[in-house]
Amino acid sequence: MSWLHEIFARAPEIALFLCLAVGYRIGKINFGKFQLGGVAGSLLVAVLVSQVGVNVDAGVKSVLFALFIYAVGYESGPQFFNSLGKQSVREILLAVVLAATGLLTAVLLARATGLDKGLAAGIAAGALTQSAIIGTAGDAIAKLGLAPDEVKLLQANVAVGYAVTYVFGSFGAIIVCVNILPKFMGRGIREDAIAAETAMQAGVQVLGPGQQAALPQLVGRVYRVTAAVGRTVADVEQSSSPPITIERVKRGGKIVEAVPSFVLQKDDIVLVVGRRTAVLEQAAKLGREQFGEEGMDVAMLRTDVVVSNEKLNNRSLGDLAANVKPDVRHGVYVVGITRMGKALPMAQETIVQNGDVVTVFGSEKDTARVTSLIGHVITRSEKTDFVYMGAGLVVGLLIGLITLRIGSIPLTLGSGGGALLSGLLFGWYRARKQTFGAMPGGAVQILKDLGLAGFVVVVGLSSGLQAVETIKQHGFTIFLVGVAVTIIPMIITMLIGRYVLRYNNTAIFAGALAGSRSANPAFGEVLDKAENSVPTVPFAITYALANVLLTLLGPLVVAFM
Amino acid sequence: MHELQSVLQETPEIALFLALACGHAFGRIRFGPIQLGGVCGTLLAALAIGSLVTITPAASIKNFFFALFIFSLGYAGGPQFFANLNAKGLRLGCFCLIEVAIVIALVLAATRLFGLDQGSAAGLMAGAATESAVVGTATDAISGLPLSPEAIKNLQANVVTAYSITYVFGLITIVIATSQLFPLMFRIDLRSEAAALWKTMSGASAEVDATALRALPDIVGRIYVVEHAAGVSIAELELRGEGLRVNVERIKRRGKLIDATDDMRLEAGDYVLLTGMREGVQRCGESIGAERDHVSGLDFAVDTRDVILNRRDLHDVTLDSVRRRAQREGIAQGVYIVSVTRSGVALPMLAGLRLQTGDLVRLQGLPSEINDVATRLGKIVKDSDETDVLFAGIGIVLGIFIGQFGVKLGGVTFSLGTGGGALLSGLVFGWLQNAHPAVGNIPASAIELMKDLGLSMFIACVGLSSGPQAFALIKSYGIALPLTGILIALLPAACSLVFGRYVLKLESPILLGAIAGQQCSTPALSAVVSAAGNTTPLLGYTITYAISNVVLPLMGPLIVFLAGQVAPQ
Repeated sequence: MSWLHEIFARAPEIALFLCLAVGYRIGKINFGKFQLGGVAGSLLVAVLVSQVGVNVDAGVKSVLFALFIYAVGYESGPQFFNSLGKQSVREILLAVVLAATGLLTAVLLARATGLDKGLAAGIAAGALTQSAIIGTAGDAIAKLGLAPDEVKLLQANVAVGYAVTYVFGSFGAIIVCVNILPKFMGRGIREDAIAAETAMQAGVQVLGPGQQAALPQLVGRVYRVTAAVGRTVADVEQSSSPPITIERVKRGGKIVEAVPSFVLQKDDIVLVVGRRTAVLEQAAKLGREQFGEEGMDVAMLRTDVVVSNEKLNNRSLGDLAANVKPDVRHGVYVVGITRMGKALPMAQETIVQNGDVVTVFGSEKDTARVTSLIGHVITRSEKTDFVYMGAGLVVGLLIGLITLRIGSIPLTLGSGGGALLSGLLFGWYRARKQTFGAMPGGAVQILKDLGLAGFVVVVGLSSGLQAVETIKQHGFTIFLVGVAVTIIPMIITMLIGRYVLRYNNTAIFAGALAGSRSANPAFGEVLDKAENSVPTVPFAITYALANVLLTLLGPLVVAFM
Repeated sequence: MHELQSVLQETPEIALFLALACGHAFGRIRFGPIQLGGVCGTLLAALAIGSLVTITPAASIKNFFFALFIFSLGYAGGPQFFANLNAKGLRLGCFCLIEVAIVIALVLAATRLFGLDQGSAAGLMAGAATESAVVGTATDAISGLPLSPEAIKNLQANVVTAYSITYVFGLITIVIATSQLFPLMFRIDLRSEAAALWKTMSGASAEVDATALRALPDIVGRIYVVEHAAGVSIAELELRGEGLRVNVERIKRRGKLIDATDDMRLEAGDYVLLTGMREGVQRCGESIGAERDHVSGLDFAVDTRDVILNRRDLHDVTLDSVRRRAQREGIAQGVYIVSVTRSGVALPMLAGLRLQTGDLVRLQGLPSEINDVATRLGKIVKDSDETDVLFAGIGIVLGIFIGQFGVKLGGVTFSLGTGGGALLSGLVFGWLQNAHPAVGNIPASAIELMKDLGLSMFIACVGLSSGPQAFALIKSYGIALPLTGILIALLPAACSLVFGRYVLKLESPILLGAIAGQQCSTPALSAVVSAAGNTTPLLGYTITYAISNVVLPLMGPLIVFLAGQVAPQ
């Protein structure tokens, strides 16, 4: 044991990374359908390792937590601000009801059982599985103006409360969303998911990540010219509406360039690309479709462009299609438009605005010409924009320093709340502008994972000895209060959701409920049961809101206890 | 001012992130072809903030981010590094040898001449060779020296100061030398040579990559209305692809969607959605009736999965027989193999292509069936944003652990330190993951983040705490450090130029690229590429870069040790 001690003393980081690695492994073990998750796993391991005695200074803790919470805000920002509208009043109310009832239950029960501020906040963190509360509550505790020893004790208790209640918090959410809710609603998740899908099929088809349509809009086909003999390439292309493109011509076994003035002869082989409707319509006027012609395939590009040309702003797609010169739009097809990450319908009357992201499809030469006219090409870089990120964090931490006084109660967001807020704003602004401030998905994810788990590990390492003591004393009470804080708010929210907010589709409701608890494992189970992506949309909205609301419970629990 | 001071001291994170933001903003500013880059910018910003306000960030921040950085550096370079350990790579590897040998000799000479301490010597090397990672490894090595904490802190501050003074000069020198000076001296017409090289290399016709977006994808879906095929069963219809797979997923009959079963018989006026291999669908479709462009409700989503083939009984079996076997066993009606990739190269999808275990097979098909098929073939590779923290964590733990062991060489303990250890484990883990994609997963953007954020935060910590001493050092050495920096940047590059031109007889664009790479200088590369007019210099750059990127950081501890030996007592 002493060699371990010595290594930890020489390189304390080794203990930190060890807890992370082993913690994530333990977090992945399946207990039935349930996993502990990396954060709770890391905390457990850290408490164990701390019994050997490790001395990690706390400096890295606040940096990691700031990075984590900024990344959470950055990720949810676009969705969060999008949800703040009339169309999602139900979801907003659902998330608010859950957060409020969660706060009440935690505070009232902790008072009734005589637990301290730290344990109460910890129970809120664990029973509602909102690990970020550990950080925001710890912040708030530090600002209470208590003696350093007492602060340390309370902060350690936050971790204890979290660790004891987390498992049931995660498990209880699954039971409520997957087992209780369908019984309560009287209909299964799967059947309602099918019903909702059929209702949605009438509109735009929504494809999940990695999915594509079996019948894509744009097709490429090869024809042997029989009917179009004597016509030019330009003539064939422009006679069709919507337009088609002749990308390649083969004559006598040789590939020739398909310039607009090129005159087609009998038995030329042509590659036609265009919208399915147009290609089918023109097929008869060209000739017969061919099988397996050599050398006719062409590599195509799919490019995302941010609209920044004033001449395109506020014009409809139909207007643009009708008024852009054929030689400009030649060979380029708009296959999608998104605004703030949400797909817009590809209809004639859809209005294009500056800042929209337009996805175009075409050969390299053609797309290069058109994209420069539309705006900036979004290159999917793996690099994070550190100027933007650093600025966001500085702003957030500064906001966290501001203290408002209402009467005698000091109200402050703390660095956690401040960084969350600035993350939301910076994430939202980035989604609007697109040309700067990139932070790719993998980077956001690693900041969230490393940030929170690293933070929790430092907490666990520095408070492990005391944790064992507290659990011996209050363990069972904490656990029971945790069960109540998990179940009661969800049941109340479920009742209000059905009878006041009129949720009547079980699949949609299950998604929304899982989201308002920001319960990812429960959502995973709901998706499993639904077997389609119907619950995803309501989940995404309530999840973004809950991530913010529940995180802010930390300081509130501390203030009201 | 006083206000600011107390805020920054109370919350040192703000100072760190401020240095990060300002530094990267400053590092982006272009001075002609020169850009300082985020790391050097961060250091300058941190030194500036540190000289105004006394802040000492906790040691744990520095150590944590350093470990992240150095592991990621190795991880990102691992596959390239091991891939270049072949005859061609080792030939160009001579450049790295030249770089290392001359740089060390010059730094040691300067150490002797100007009486530099170990910290300044290491900083001089890091700056002149524009290799910021050396700052990390050298600082790390210094912390292991048997000195008082005060002396260690001084030496570490000298590393960053010497680095920041010489970096600018080193950077400008290498950019101008590779892109302007060398071509001029040897009367090289870089542009025309690069164009000629481009022509000889692109001789082979450009096949469309199987995994790229194509105008004529292999798998298609089409809707036909039943005219001639009334009474035919679905099973019979699916055979009309003449050996090429065709599937009927759904039928729309009198406005209602029906899931297709094998023995169901078509009726006139049914809409049928066929999916499958292009030619099969075409053949089969023509026998049914006219094609339709859109029938509402018939479209559905198809999923894609990447699988690492691990079934031994499918090793060395042709694609064609795999397909037939699947058909016989009645599985996977709606799932297709779209591409097969072997060690990073997409293979032509011929019927006779023999699969090997370890191939990356891309499947496309119905969401309900694809997982079943994928798990039958092997392990699914998740294209996920999620980092396997277990994998990364173990790598870092092992690295730091290895670094703790010392080897006694002639009475002096020589250990890799956290820097060397984590770099090594990163290399191995990166290579391992690349060779076995099913093991671990660290997305590229996560590696980039850990690498850049790790080094920047580390540098910011060091910079903040050494701000006050920076000016003292600048005063004491004056012009000597910058001049030495220029010499250290120029001489190895010049030697490599002569060696590459007269001994290895390399084409000039490749040679100049390789020289940029031996210094790990991305700015120099971009200057060479823009002077050459195409990307041929990359052919040399990637190889020397992959090697130097690993070897140069390891020189940090070495120079600390050697400088201690040669320094005038």
